[in-house]
Amino acid sequence: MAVALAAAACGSKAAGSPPAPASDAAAPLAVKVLVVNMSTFEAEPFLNALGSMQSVPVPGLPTSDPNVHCNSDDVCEVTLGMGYANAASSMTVLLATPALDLTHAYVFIAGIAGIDPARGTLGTAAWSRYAVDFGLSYEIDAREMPSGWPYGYFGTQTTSPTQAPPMLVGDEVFQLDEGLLQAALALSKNAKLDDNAQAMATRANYPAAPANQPPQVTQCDTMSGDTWIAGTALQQRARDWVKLMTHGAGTFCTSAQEDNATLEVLTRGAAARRVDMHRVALLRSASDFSAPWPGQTDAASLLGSLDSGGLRISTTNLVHAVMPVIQAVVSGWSQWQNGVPK
Amino acid sequence: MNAHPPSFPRLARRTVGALLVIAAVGATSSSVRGQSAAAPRTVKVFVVTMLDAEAAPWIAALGLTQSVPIAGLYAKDPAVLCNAEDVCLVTTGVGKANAAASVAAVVFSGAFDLSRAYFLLSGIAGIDPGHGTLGSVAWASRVVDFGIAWELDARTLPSGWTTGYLGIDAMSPTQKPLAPFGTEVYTLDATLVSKAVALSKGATLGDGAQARTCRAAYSSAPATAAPSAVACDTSSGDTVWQGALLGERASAWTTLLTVGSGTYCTRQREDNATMTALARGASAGLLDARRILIEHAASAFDRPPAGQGPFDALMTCGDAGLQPAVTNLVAAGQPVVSAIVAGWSQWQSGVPQ
Repeated sequence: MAVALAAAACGSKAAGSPPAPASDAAAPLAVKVLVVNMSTFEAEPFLNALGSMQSVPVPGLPTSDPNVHCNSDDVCEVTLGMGYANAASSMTVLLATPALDLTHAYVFIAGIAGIDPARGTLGTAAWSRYAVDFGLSYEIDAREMPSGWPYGYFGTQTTSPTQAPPMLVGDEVFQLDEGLLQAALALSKNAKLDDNAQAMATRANYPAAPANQPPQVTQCDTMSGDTWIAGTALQQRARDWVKLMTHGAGTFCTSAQEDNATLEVLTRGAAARRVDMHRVALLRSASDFSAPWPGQTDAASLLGSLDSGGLRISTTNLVHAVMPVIQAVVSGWSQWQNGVPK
Repeated sequence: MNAHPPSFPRLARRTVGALLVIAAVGATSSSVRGQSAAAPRTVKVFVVTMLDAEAAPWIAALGLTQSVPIAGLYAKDPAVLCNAEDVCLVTTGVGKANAAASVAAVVFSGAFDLSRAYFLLSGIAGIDPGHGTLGSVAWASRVVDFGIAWELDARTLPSGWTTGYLGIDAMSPTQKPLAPFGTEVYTLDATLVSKAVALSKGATLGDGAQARTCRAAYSSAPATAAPSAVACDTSSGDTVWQGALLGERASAWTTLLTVGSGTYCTRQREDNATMTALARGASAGLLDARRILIEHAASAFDRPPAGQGPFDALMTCGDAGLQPAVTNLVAAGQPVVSAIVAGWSQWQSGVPQ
């Protein structure tokens, strides 16, 4: 079969004594933990931290990252590609492959994001309770919107930005499992996070905590959309929208480009009994601020976001926050296989 | 590989490794969970709709009475519908996440042999009044993602910028981005698109009273004329934008990303996601990406007539073309479906010369 041929062609990722290669005929690999990254840049620190990995080719994954990587503890990693189209396509392919059994797997979505300086700083690692879609909306350019509006986005089939829209699409809001969220927070809250001089210099421009403090593991919510919004007005829309769509329960904190697409597919997979939504957690770490410091323009903040110093530490801090949880799941599998221990 | 020097590590891709693996996984994998027992059903034409309102006229016209439940479809439309002539239809749900998820679920289900299937993406859209009118049907050659971008509020722009949207990791809206996601632009097979345009040319398109009223506010053709079938390109994004300023951005962005070869004409919410799911199927050897068609019929204008604001236009005429649009998707698309089915002995090998 093609899968077996590809396995032979690819070989395993790391030297050493890798587990036996996956074969099409064999029983599916019973995965304990699946780490879901979006870019190679996020994946590399995980692959380094997870030790010797075998490559499991899954036809239909992005040609840039065609393999799932699994170690001998049955901890696997996949890189979906960036944006909604890649995320939804890759996750659907993954749930359809006979190579993996994900029915008992804990799924940790781990990616970088922009962060609201009122909620965190460069390198902050935030576990989400809510994932709210930003893009499924109407938009009018702010220069020709009705007078008095704070920004040009408003809910589909509504008449103003403050009106809650009908939930017609299905993937507008997801709530992650609270038991897993609390366990992940408890296990990761004392993790030592990376910091660096460039990030320190950037965050020193912000006048208040938490933006000007060292990064920590925290809980606050994420919004996602293909459009990477930035600046004071659109950040305010993200804050208002997360509040509106969660009836006041959620707090905008990180902005990303895939999560509601990934969670839509996982929800469908749960309906087909291929994955368990009670075992899905979402972590985003800040590579940049989503709004400028006082006196900085929106454009300067956005165009300089990749030089803020946050990029490298955001990827390594994902690992620092997730690894304690992975270690707990693997070492306590006799309990975790039945659900999050009380 | 890229000509642009500013490399962005978030966008780094393992190109060399990818090339090695493409060859290995290029072969067909038909072993998919839960479907290995039954032989996959051969499909000649797969119609992809997003909404029940788009699907209903197709279901009626094609007699799609056979239901094939597929795991992982949109919860409200959990089955693919087919007829005895091997024409099938899936309704994906709205937006990129639903579209990619549903189409990938179909392609990777193992339930269908899609290796020779023609795909017809058939949905409503907003249209640029410079290229069509309510009820017009537009066949796309190029599919450009509108949403994958950086965005600033348009009131805070640096001098010289005309829009708040710019490419990710670009320095201004006029700089062509690296398109690092890989899903930003798709180009359809020119021969197939030309054939579809020709086959639909003589179609009788429907119209409606509300459509006539709303188009009368515009100043010139084609916006003021009766609907027709045209060839122009489409732009995808989850956000339904409205207005001349974002319309100008759609045109400029399409031109920028297609290096001048594309002409923006319709905006919709799914195509780049659907194309991504189909491209994955093609890379896995399950289907032929040269056999994809996209038609959009205009349920709305994307911008107001002179003298009206975009908000008022959206409120008064935001779905004025819905009924003729869903009717005309079938009117323009069915001649193509019929030609493929009736001429399958030729079409199975490719578009007849």
